[in-house]
Amino acid sequence: MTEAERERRRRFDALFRENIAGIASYCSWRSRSSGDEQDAVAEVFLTVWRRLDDVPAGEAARPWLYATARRVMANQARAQARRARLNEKLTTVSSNDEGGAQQSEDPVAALVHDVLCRLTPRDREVLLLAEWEGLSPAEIAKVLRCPAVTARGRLHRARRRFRAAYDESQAQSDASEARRQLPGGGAAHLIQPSRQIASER
Amino acid sequence: MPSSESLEDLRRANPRNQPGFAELVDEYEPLKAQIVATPIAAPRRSKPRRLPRRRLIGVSMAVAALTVAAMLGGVFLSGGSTDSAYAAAKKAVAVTSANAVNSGTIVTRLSRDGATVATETTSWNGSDISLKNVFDTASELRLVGQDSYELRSDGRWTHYDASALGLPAFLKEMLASARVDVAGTTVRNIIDATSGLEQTENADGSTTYSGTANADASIGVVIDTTTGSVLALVTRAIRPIANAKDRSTVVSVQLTVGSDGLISSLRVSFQSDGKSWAQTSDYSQLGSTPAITAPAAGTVVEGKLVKAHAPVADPSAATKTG
Repeated sequence: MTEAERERRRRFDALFRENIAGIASYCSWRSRSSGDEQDAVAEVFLTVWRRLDDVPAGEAARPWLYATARRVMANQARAQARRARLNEKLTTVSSNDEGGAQQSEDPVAALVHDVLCRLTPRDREVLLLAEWEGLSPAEIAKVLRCPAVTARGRLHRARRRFRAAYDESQAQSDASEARRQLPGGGAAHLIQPSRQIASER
Repeated sequence: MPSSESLEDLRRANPRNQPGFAELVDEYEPLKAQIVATPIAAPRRSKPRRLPRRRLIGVSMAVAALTVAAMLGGVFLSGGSTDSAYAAAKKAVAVTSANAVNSGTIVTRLSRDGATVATETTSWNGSDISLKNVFDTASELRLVGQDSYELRSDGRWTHYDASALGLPAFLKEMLASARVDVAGTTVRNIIDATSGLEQTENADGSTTYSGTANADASIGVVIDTTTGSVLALVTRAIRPIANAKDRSTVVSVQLTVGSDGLISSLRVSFQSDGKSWAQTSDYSQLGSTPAITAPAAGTVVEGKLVKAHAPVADPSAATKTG
């Protein structure tokens, strides 16, 4: 192995070590299944390996990697749409994947998940790049390929919408919990179908 | 709940804070070794490099000297090394692609334990393309000039103007994939991802190039993670294996080139979940594939999204196919 190859390997190792958690996290909340997520992570780092000379040095590498991951996920989504057509025709199913998005048992996390699902994809992405991935508005702008001022504005609006939706969901959740705790409240709901059947008889 | 707490809850729900995330990240460690083992394609030069005239003469003289030495010593310059196997395989790809051959047909079969589960036929003639899929029902897509036609389940064809914005995304994707296949890009990518390519001369004058590749992000079979089914043909869509445990799968690659220098077949095989999967692409009718023609006029209905062509012949069909 030449010194240049060793240096290339060292740089890749460093990029992998510093960014694998972030890219894995990003791909996990952007993908539909664990398989997609693992695919995407592999593809991102393969791109890094192949285009190592194009990866910016220092702090600028991180948004470059997220931008690459974003493109990989977009390509994945497009390919899935196409494969869905063929999938309809394939009947041989040998399930080898637990698949699907993981549902949290933590009620707060579940509520957060519900609210995130109600946001637009654009709001969700900018919000999570900031809150989960810790990217600054300037870095988000590089990922989304938009001016920093635009990214800042989008983030502000996304946070505002998340707060509003979260507070609303929380209020609804509290109200339904209160109703459930009323004497007979939950039971009345549960026995309603059988009453209906009885009346039909 | 005060709004400030909502963002705190959001941050607490970060997947990185969830149990098992560190273990998940650790699972990616073997990926690093696989990636760094992936060969890097040599950078392409945008323009041919001009050599100084004097150097060209020098090169010519060196080639002449080597040729004379080879003739005298009975040494063949071609073959032998792995590098020359890659070069020869890529040369075969170049001369078999749509850029070099005006027409051709690629029949790709995906088999599981020896039984064919899907067949795809891609034909080209000039810039026109036909793409036929056969699984339990047949489907077909034709691109003729700027017009594309999709075969419907009722035997009629839906027409879209391929130049119009209205061409559905999945058709754009299918056409793009077919173009990539007939241009030879897919086979070239597979060769790039294959390591230890070896060249074997066959008795019939053909040559087989064999090697293996890790089923990483550059080569693989498509296993749908939702259904667990293998559903895509490697040469149509170079996609990573969707399942982590399959990512370490070793894929066997065999490219056979006929005595005429044109590709005759590409075979990619692997094991997954105890089953043997193989995808074989057979090349035929190179230079003699008939013209791709538009379907008979009476069988064509206009696609809903076509804007360049006016009236929709069959409104009910339009709503179904849009």
